[in-house]
Formats: sequence, C-alpha cells, structure tokens
Amino acid sequence: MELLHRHTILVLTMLFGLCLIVIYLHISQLKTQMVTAMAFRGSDIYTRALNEMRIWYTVEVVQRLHNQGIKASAEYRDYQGEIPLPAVLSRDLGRRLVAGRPGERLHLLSPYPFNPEKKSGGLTDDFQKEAWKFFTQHPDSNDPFYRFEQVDGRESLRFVKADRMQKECVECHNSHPDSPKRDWQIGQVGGLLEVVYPVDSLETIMGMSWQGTYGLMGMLVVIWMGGFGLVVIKLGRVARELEEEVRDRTGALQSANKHLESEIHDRLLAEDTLRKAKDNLEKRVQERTGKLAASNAELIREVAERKRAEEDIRKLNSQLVQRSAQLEASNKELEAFSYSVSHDLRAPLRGIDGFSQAVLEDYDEKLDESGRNYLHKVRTASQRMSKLIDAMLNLARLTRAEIHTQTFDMSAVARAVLEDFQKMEPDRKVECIVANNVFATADPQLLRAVLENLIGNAWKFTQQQAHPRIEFGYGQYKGQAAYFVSDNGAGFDMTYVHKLFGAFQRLHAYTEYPGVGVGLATVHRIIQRHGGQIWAEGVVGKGATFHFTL
Amino acid sequence: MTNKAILLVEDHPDDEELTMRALKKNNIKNEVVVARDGVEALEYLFGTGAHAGRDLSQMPQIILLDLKLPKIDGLEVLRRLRADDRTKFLPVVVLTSSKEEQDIVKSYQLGANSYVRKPVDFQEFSQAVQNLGLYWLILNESAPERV
Repeated sequence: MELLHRHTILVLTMLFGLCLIVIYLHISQLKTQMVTAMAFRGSDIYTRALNEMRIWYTVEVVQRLHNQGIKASAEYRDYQGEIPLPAVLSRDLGRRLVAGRPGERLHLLSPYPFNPEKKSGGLTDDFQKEAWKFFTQHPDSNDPFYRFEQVDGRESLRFVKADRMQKECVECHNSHPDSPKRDWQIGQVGGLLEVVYPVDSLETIMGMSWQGTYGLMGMLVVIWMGGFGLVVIKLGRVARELEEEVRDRTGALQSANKHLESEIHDRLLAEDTLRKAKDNLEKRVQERTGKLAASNAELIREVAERKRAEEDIRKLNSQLVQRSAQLEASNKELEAFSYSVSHDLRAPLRGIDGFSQAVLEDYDEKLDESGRNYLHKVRTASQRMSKLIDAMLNLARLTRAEIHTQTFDMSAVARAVLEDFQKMEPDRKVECIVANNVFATADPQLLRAVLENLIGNAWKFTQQQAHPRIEFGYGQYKGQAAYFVSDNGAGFDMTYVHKLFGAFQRLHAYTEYPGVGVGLATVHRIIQRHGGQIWAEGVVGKGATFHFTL
Repeated sequence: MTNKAILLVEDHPDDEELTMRALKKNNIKNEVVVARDGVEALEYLFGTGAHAGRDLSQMPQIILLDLKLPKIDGLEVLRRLRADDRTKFLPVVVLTSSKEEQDIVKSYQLGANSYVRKPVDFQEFSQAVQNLGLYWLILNESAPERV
C-alpha cells in the first residue's frame, strides 16, 4: 500500500500495461479461437452441404433415372445418356466449390474407389490413413477428425467426416460393375469427406479487423495517457498550489509559532515576575500578619483599656448626672436665694436709708455737724450695700442666663457704650478710637455687658489723665487674634494680675476709684461662658489693656 | 387731683411708713388704704371679710402692690382682680424691692400697668413716689366706673 501511495503513477501505469497485455493476450486467444471456429464452421458446412447434396441426388435423381434406364457412371462425360455417379458429383461439386479459393480443398476419399477413380480416390497421406483408421475403429462417431498442419506451405485445418453408406447407396455399390467391394452394409463407413481449410487467410481477415481493435486500443492508450497526463499536470498544479499553500501556512504557522514563542517567553517572564511579586507579597503578608497579630494584641489590650475607661466614664457619667442633679438643685436654691436676697435684703437697707434721711430732715436742728455726718455715712453705707447686692445678683444671673448666639457688629456696640458714658459725663474729653467692622458671634446682650464693664473701667480709670484715650479693636496678640480694650489710665501692678478677675476684688482704693469689685468678675464669667479667654496687661500710671477671645 | 383712695398693699411696716412719708412729702393728700397682705387687699376690693358691706362704687384711684406678701402674694392678687369685671380696669403699679426679670415679666403678663422698683436711697424713692402720684393721680385718665 505504501508503494501505491509513493509511486501511484508508476503503479497505475504498470497496472494499465498489465491490463493491456491481458487484453492483448485475450484478444489473441479469441482470434485463434475464432479462426478455428470459423474454419470448423466452414468445413462443417462444406461437408454437410456436399453430403446432403449427394444423398438428395442419389434418391431424387439417380434412382429415378435408373428406373427409366439411364445409367450413372464415372465417365458420364464420355457417354450420351449417362449421368454422373453420386461420388463423382461430390468430387466435381467439391472442386467447383473451392474453385478460386486458393489452398482450400474439398474431396471424397475412400480406400475402395470405383475403378476409374483409383488414381484419385484413394487414401494418399498419413493423415487420411489415420482418419480412416479412427472411423473404422469408431464407426458411430459423428465428430470430425481434424488436425492443423502445413499444407502446401500454408497453415491449414484438415477436417474429415465419415461418409456412411445409406440404404440407397448400398444396392448400387454392391452391384455396380465398377465397385471394388460388394458387401456394403447400411451405416458402414464407406469413405471420408475431407476439407482442407487454410486458416492464414482467415487470420489475415481477422487481422484486418483486429487492426481496428488495436487501433482502438492504441487510441485508448493515447486517450488514457492524455487523460493521465492531464490528471498528472492537474495533480502537479494542485500539488504546487498545495505546496505553496502549505509553504504559506507553514510560514504563517512559523510566524505564529515565533509570536507564540515570544508570547510564551513574555508569559514566562511575567510569570516569573508574578511569582516574585507573589513571594514578595507573601513575605509582606507574613510581615503584615505578624504586625497585625501584634497590633491585634495591642488592640485587645486597648479594647480592654477602653472598656475600663468606658466603665470609668460610665461611673463618671453617673456621678456627673448626680452632680448635675445636685447642681440643678443648688442652682434652684441659688435662684431662690437670690430671689429672696433681691426682696428681703434690700428692704432693711431701704429702712436704714429712709429713716436716716427722716432723722436728718425731721431733727435737723437737734443734730450737730458730727451727728449729721454720721447719718450721711449710714446712708452712704446702706446705698453701697444696695449696689453690692445688685452686682452680686447680676453676677448670679449671668451664671444662669441662656446664651443666644448671633453675629453682630461689635464696633457699633463699643461706639454706643462710649456715647452713653459721654452723655453721663458730657464735660469729659476722652479720645475714643474704635476700629471699624469688628464682628463677633456671641450673645449680643452679654457682650454689651462685657464692653460696658471694660469701657466703663477705662472711662473710670482715665479720670485723672490729662489726655485720656480709650481704644477698642481686634488684632493679633502673641500669635492669637483677640479683641481688646485699652486705655492710658491708672493701670495696675502686674503683681496682682491674678486678683483682677476675682469677685469683690479691688486693686484701687474705693475713695480713689469707686466700684463694688464685680465688674471684671462679671466680664470673666461671660467670656468663660462663651468658651473664650480674657487676660490683662497693665503698667501703673501708664494704662491697662484687656484682651479677650470668644 | 381726684380724692379717690390709694390702696397700698404692703406687709412691711417700715416700707409702709416710708411710703406714707414719701406721699406726704409730695403733698399727696388722697386717702391711703393699707392692706397688709393679699387676702386683706382682696377683701377690701370685693367688699368681703373685714371689709364686708363696703361701698363698692368707691374703688381706689391706684393700687400700689408689693409682690412679696403673706398668705396671697401680689401676683395672685393681680390675677384675681384682673379676672373680675369690677376691678379689671383698676390701675395697678407694682412697687417692690425685686428687680428679678421673672417678676417683671409675670407682672406685665397678668396686666400690671406699671412696674417700679423701690430704690434704697430714700430721696430717689421719694422722687419715684412723686412721679407716680403726678402720673397716676393727675395725668392719667381712668376708665369709667361702669363699663
């Protein structure tokens, strides 16, 4: 099979050749068989025709004429009123039949010919003798005795059939004067009918027609070769195309392969990078995990601490709630206290002042200067006490008051406050410097109280100044933005600055600068309640500055 | 100046005396009826209790009302007399020691016509009484008796 695959064309050609040879051989054989058959057929027809003609002639002509006295003889040509013997008829007819057909012979032979026929009717060669011998041994055989051999230099069929004695023949042969034998019996072989049939002429005829066949075969070969060639060319082209395609595909595949290789290379590189990154990541994850575990422990600790802290806070909270409640309670108490102070503490003072005045008015003539003076002191003291009570109540109110925050113009408030003081003391000449557009987000009423106190202090402590100056503004102080109120008044000793914002604390003699000593405490409380800070700077005799934030 | 009475509701005798002195010093000659607690003030106004049978057509020209009073306090007195048709238009001046915001607000809510704090300084007090007399007894036109 592999051979067939590899050398398809060669094998096919060989097979085709083999077929041609087989066909040729077959045709040759067929030719021989046909020649033989034609020769047999021809010979058979000759013999049968001659035989039937002789019998018919014997029965229908010879016997009838014999009854009318007409004799049949071998020398009928020589005698008037004689007709040819059946054997002579056979001989002559045979000669006539083959006339013009060279090589062919047709004749009747017998070892017992009628006399005149002795020269030509006897058995002349070995073949004829063998044939006679065969038929005498096989008297019933209807088959011909035959052989192919050279006759006069030509390949010929020698064909012999037995000529048997008929009923019509026996009488004559046993009685005819020329008959060499008188004991013929019906059916006995009396002679041989021989046909010599040259087959070379047949072969020539056949050959003529075979030439067509061979021509046809040749044409077939040519067509086959042509077709085969075309197929081969076509196959070749297809093969070339296929080869080209294969080359192209191979090229494409190679380039794809290269691409793939580079891709694989890249992938491998990427994989390597990835692996490294993964290793790195794992390392980092491990580190992180370690750190996480550590921080987790830390967290757990922290959580525990937080819980403790929360617990503390909760405790503190409950304490706070308690405190708050207490504070509220004490606040209420304080409110009640200040309410009753407001009502009850003032009434006696009014009495003291009022009746002192009554004494001064009603008993003026009974009092001397000293008595009058004392009563005046009583009145002054009671009035001062009244002011103290008012200041104290005010301070207490500020502690409780709700804060209502809004943004407002502090500059305007400062100017209004200064105007109020100016109205109260129209004769004083004070230089007032108020910065524009200073805004604050706070409770406006409380901030007004702040400015009233601070500006009031400034107003008060610049009384003895020749050129008093009060300034309000907003600016940077030691890196902190703050509001300020400053004056060039009496100032204060920084040694006692810590006492400045305490309630009922005074840094100046009452006689020098009157006041109850709650103004700065009030300011401090308001600033504190706004979440701001207040601080002061002062130099004795040079002035004071109060800074505050909100 | 009418000669209708002034009703002074005041529990403290010193304050009563000082007020009377201030009135006298300012030549206010109107009769002054003093009620020493809220109950007494209401009895006088509605003619009940100690004042049963009083001629209710004679209502005071002005009521000077202290807030801190025994039994019924000043704010309650104010509420009740404003609730009654006979007294709802009577001028009431709250005259008290307190300057507490809550007292001021409540007084006006209940229909006080004025709120004056008694100053400690008698001269100031006297001045205040004079102003009150001038305003409520002379300048102010009261509502008709029958409305």
